[in-house]
Amino acid sequence: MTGQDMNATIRLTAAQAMVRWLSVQRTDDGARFIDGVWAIFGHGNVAGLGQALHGIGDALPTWRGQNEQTMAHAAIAFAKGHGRRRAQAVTASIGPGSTNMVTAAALAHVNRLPVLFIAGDVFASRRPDPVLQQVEGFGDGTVSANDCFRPVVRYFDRITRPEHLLTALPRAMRVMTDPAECGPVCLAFCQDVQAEAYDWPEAFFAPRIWHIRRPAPDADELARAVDLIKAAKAPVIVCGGGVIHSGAEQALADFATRHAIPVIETQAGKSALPQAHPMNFGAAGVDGSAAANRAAAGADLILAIGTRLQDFTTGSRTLFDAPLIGINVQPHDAAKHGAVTLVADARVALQALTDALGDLRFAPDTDPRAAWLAAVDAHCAAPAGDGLPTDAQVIGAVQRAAPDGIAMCAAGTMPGALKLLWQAAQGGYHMEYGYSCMGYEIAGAMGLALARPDRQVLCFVGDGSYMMANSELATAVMRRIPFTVILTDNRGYGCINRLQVGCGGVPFNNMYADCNVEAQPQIDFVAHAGSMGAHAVKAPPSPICRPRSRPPAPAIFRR
Amino acid sequence: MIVIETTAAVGPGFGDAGHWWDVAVPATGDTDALAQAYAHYLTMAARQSLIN
Repeated sequence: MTGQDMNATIRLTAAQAMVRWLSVQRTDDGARFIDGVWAIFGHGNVAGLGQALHGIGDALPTWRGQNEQTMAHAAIAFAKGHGRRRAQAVTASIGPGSTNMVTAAALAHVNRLPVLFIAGDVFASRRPDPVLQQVEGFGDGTVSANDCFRPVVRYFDRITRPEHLLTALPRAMRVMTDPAECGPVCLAFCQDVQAEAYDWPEAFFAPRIWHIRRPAPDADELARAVDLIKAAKAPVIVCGGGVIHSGAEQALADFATRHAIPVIETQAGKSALPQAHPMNFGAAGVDGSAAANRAAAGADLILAIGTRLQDFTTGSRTLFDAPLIGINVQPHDAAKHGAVTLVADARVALQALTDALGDLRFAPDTDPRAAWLAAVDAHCAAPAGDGLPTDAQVIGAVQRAAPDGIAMCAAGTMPGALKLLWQAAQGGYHMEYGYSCMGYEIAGAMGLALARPDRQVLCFVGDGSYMMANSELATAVMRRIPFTVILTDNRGYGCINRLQVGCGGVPFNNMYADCNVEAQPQIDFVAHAGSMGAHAVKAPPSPICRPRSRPPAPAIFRR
Repeated sequence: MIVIETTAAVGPGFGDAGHWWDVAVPATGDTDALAQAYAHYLTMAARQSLIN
C-alpha cells in the first residue's frame, strides 16, 4: 500500500465500522471468524448497530432470536461445534437485554469458548441521564449494567469514543483466537457512540487472517515429563476438551495406541476418541465408568491433557492417588493438583512426547473395559416390563437408532447418564458441563446443528430444563435448522431430588409432587412444541425403547 | 421432538460405576438419614487430596 493510500480515510459511524471490520476477520481457511450476529434490538442498539447490520447485509448476516441468553447459547454451541475455530456475535440493548446475556457469558467463560457480546450501553455524553433502563450508581458515575460482564468475560471494553474500536476490536479478536486465553468478549457500546461518525483509516478494514498458534513445550518441561512417563508402570490419560480444541483427536488415538495407555474422559473431552477405540476406558470420576475409575485409582501417573480437572472428573479430589503431569496450553490449568507442568498445545505435546518415548509400551489390563461395555449394553437394553423407562433405557434406544449422531445436553440427569452410557462415535458428543446451564439445550442444539450440518444432532433435555428455556425452538423452525429433541419428562427436577435425598434430606421442592402447588401440572409438551411449529410426538414407554432398524427422522417440521 | 415419560426414581449409575461427589451435607439436623449422610461426608472429605 502506498503512503498516500495509508493515509486514506473513510467516514463511517462507529457501528458501521465495527460490522465492516468484523466482516473481514478470517480464519486460516478463509471463512469469517465471526459467522454472523444474533440480535434482539432495543433503543440501545437499534438505531446505530441496527442500521449498520442492515447495511452490511450478507457480508455479516443478522439473525433474530427469542431471548438474549439463549441466542448466546446458540452462538456458544456454534463455537464449540467448530472447536473454537469460528464464533458468532450476540447483541442486545442496554438493560435487561444485556444482563440477560451475562449468564451466557459465564457459561462461555467456564467452558473457554469464544463469543462476542456487543452490549448496548448508556450515553457516553450522559446528556439524557438517566436514559431508559439505565442503572444509576449513586457513588460511581462510570458504572452501567454492563459492568456485570466484567467477571465473566476474558476481555471487557466500553466504547465511549468511536476510535476506541481501533484498539478494542483487535484485542477482542486476539482473545477469542488465543488458545490459552480463549473465551467471551464484551464490548459495551454506548448508544450515542454507535451512531457517531468518524474518519477511519481505510487500512483498518483490510482483510486479516487470525492464525491460532500451537505453542511447543519448553525443553526442560518436556524432559521432566518424559522421565516421569518412562519411570511409570501404569499411567492413565485424562482426556479433556483441550484435546478437541487443539484438533488433537487423532494424535491422542495414535499416542494411546502406540504406548498402550488407557484414556479416561471428561465431559468436554468425551468423543475425542470413539468409545470403540481399544484404549478408551470411558468416562472418569463422579459419573465415571467402572473401568475408567478402576484404571484411575490404580494408576501411578496421571497425564491430564487439556482438562480443567473439574470436581466431576476427579471425584472431588478423591479418585487419583498418583502424581500428575498437566499438559495444557493454559498454565493455570497445567499446574492444578501440584502437577508437573507441560505447557503446550495438546497435539504438539503428544507428538513431542511420543518422539521421546519411542516404542515404550505399557501393559494395561483391558478386561475391565470389555466387561464395562458389555454391562452398559445390558443396562441400556430395552425394558422388559410395562413401567416407565429409565434414562439409561432411553439412551440405549437412541444409541441403537442413531449411533453416529451427536448427543448433546447440559443439565439434569442426562449429562451424567450420557457421559457414563453414551457410546459415542468420534466427535459424537457435545456437553455443556462447565456451567451446566439449564436451558442451554434447545438453543445449543440449534447452534450445534449450524456448526455440524453433516451430523444428526440429538438434543437430550429434561422437562425441567425445557421449561426453563425452550423458545429458540421457534427460531429453529423459522430458520429450518434441523435437530432431534429427546425430552424426558419425569415430572420435576429428578436429578437434584435424588441428590437431596442422598445428602440426607427429604424430597422437597424438586418434584412437582413435593412442591407447594394447588394442582399437579399436566404439561402437554407435544402441544407446546407443536405450537412453535415443531413436529412432536409422545412415545409410549415400551415401543420407544425397543431397538429400531433405522434412525428417527431428524428434526421434523410441521409441513 | 420425541417426548418420553421416564421414572425419576432410578439414577444412571449402576454396579461399580460412579464416584463420590463433594456436596456439603448439614452438620446437624433431625433425621437418622441426615446423620448417616453427614458421617459418610466426613469420611469421604478426609480422603481428598488438597495439594496444588
